[in-house]
Amino acid sequence: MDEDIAEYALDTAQKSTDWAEIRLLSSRENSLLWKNGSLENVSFFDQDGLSIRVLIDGAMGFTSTNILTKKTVNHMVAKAIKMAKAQDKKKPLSLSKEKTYSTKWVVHPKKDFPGITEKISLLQNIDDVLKDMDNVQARFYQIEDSTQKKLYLNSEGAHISSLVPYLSFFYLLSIGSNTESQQITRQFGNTGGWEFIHEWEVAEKISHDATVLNDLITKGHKPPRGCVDFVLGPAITGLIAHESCGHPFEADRINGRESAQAGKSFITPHMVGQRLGTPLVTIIDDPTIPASYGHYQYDDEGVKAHKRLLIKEGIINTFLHNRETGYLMAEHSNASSRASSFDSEPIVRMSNTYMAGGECSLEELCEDIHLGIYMASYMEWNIDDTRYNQKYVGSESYLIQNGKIGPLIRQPTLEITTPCLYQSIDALGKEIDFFAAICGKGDPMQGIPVWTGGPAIRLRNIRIT
Amino acid sequence: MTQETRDSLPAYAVRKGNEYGFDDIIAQLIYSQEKQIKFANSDIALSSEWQNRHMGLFLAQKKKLLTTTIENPTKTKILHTLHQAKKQISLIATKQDYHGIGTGGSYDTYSYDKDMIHQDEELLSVTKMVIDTGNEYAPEVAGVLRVGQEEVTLCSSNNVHAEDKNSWITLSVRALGTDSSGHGVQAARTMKQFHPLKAARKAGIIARDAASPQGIEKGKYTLILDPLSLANLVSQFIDFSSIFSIESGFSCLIGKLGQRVAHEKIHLFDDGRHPQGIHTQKFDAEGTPTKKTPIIKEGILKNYLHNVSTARKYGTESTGNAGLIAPHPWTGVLAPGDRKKEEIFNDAVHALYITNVWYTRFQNYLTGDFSTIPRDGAFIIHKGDMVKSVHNIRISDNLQSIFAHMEILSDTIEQIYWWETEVPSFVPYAVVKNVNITTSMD
Repeated sequence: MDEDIAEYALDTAQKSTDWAEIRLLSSRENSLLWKNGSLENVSFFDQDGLSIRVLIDGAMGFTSTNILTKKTVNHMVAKAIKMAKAQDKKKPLSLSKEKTYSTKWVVHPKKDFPGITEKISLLQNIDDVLKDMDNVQARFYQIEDSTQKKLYLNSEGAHISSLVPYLSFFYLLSIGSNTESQQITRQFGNTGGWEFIHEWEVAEKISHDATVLNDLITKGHKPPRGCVDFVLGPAITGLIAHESCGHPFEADRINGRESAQAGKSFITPHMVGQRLGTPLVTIIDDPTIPASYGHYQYDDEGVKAHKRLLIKEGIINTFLHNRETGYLMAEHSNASSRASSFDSEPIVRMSNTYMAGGECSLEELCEDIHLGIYMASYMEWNIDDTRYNQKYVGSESYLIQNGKIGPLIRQPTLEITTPCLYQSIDALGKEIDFFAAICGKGDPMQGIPVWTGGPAIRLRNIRIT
Repeated sequence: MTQETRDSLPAYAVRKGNEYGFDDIIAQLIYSQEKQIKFANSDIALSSEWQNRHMGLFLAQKKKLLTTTIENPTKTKILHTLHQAKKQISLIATKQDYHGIGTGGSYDTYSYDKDMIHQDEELLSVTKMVIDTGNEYAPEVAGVLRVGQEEVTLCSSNNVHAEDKNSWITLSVRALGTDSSGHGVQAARTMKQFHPLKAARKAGIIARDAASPQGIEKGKYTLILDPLSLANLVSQFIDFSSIFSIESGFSCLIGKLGQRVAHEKIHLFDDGRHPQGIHTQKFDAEGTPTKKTPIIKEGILKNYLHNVSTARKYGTESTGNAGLIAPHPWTGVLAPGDRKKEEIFNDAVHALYITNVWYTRFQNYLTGDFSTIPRDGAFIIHKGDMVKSVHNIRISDNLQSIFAHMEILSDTIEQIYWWETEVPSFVPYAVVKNVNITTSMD
């Protein structure tokens, strides 16, 4: 990594701007694709590039290049300045004042990423668990590791370097025949090394999924209709925390900056302090969780990361801010600025978003349900662009009758508004699980690693039609 | 970068790849420039510019495949990468169904606007006019104006040496009222083909007309799909026709060649040569000339999208859709029908007009069971009149069923490309009968 070119870019940029920052990124990514029992492709990719962001008279300019010569950097700095000056903004923007750091942070892998041979062996071993099943229609796996070295500099004196390894695994499994089929996807991810490949227990999970999908075809019942109670497993609780709390609490959405693409929010600035859910509902976004997929110690504007309490005991508590929205709403950044790569502008993002747990076991959550649905996993989901109107369709799901978890049911659907969902929660499980995901936002699209999580939760009196 | 450098690096990579003992080598050098003006709250939020140069490399040795990308390539980096690749590829398992790369061909030329990327003042002026036009109808306007160009040089071990230049300009604009919104897009290869104010006006009018939306009952509806919403579904459908999607389980078109998958009035193509297509290119990633490939003809599934290797595997010909790793679509074209747009609206009886959708997700790719959420204006239409603006609804149905019930198409098509339509698609207005609409509990 050529740190000198970043220093040179900052020196050049700060001479004629009110504020400037440089992000230099160098990374190595390795990927293996496995399809239907054989290796499809191996790829590796070295990424080196920097971005320049400048603020002049309340206007922001951003440029990026992977041509790391002084000549090109000079050109790109000049372009950023020229574009910012040309804007003639109606409402100048500014940045909140934040403490400046000069530091280095590193995520140390406990076990280094192995070579290709071991990865192929792992994929073969995972695939072997399906070899005795005669109705596997298709399976697709992808394993990726990357190590990202980053240097952040700004004209206020920030100098933060980091080194972070990532490991992830994805699969799509299709079970069935030409007449009937079931599918499921799973994503795994951590910051750290090869040690997590065993913690994920991918082979065990794909074996379990294959059995469940097969049973859904052969034994799955129709879901009940009418008024029922729901118990949602941690995977769905986590998705809910991400989609209908994390996203609508992003202050750039609330202020309209993403309204053409990712959309706005049903939450408005004056709603801080209002009740959104029952007192059991507490939702947190925390980038400091060690080894989490959304982990960072300093965000992409150099602000020190900390835990954010988005909903506290059912009350809207705080939003996710970068320095631009922090200034706009007379607050501070809470270190929510992230960029997916060197050529992406940092914008407000989640990290690891989860619902706090309670005291119940799964059995206790179900024990007084007369008729209900236990949804353990999902396949289809979506939510509108103000994060109000959402749908989750169960994959592994069971009927609850007279307090007991019973037979598998096919694709039960929870279609509900956000306030109604959070106001229907009357009990929480005590075990919290986390799930990796890639969250999309921004234009150009930025996919960024996050965790979602939470306990099993119970929703009362849900209408299914 | 000099012309000499652009020309020599891919050829150098192929020559050195041969010396390293690789059987098949593709080196694709791309130099790209893009500019973007992002606006929100009727004001410019950020101006951006990107300049990047990278080389994609495909390497095969004894049916073992490896791909890599070199950022800002130099001869030293190429040698280093080939050295690494040689070590890695020896450890890779063979891909028995690999059958080689293309041999090139003769290429057509498509429109290219070399000046567009440099028209900074014009782009700024267009942005301000778009905002002002949207503001005539709605208080808030947001969006993205992006312009780009790329120069591509491709060399392969099958003696392919090909060059291409492409340019594009796109606009995605949304107008927002207090309880409503509308969206418009434009996409073109040259500034002459680009009509930004048309998109801004459309977004503004929809936002204005969609004020005070109301809920509706769930149930079966006849839909009028605006090109913006239909393109989202066409983009999905055409992506499902890639042989990679077919083999991986990401498609509801598996095993259906020769079968009816849509209404007999549906003719769907992948067109890598469309004169106005922003993804139109002379050749694919292995140098095969791009083509116009019928996917669905009179409702019957005719072809999957192939590269040379997958085509040989299935006993057919490449459709010119190679990527470095897998075949992918270029541009969807749903052939127009015979109705005027006005006739479609005037003939509607309690139809639901959906101007835009997003967040299309599948419960099962194999069956095509999915849902997608209308965003921006949606209206009940009765004999040409907008009876009421509606909101908080969802299309919960089956993708193949949607195309099976697509009985009426308008007589003009337009190119749609934005955040939610990844494969640019030329589509008309469409009438789809018997579509399931669901609503949320509140």
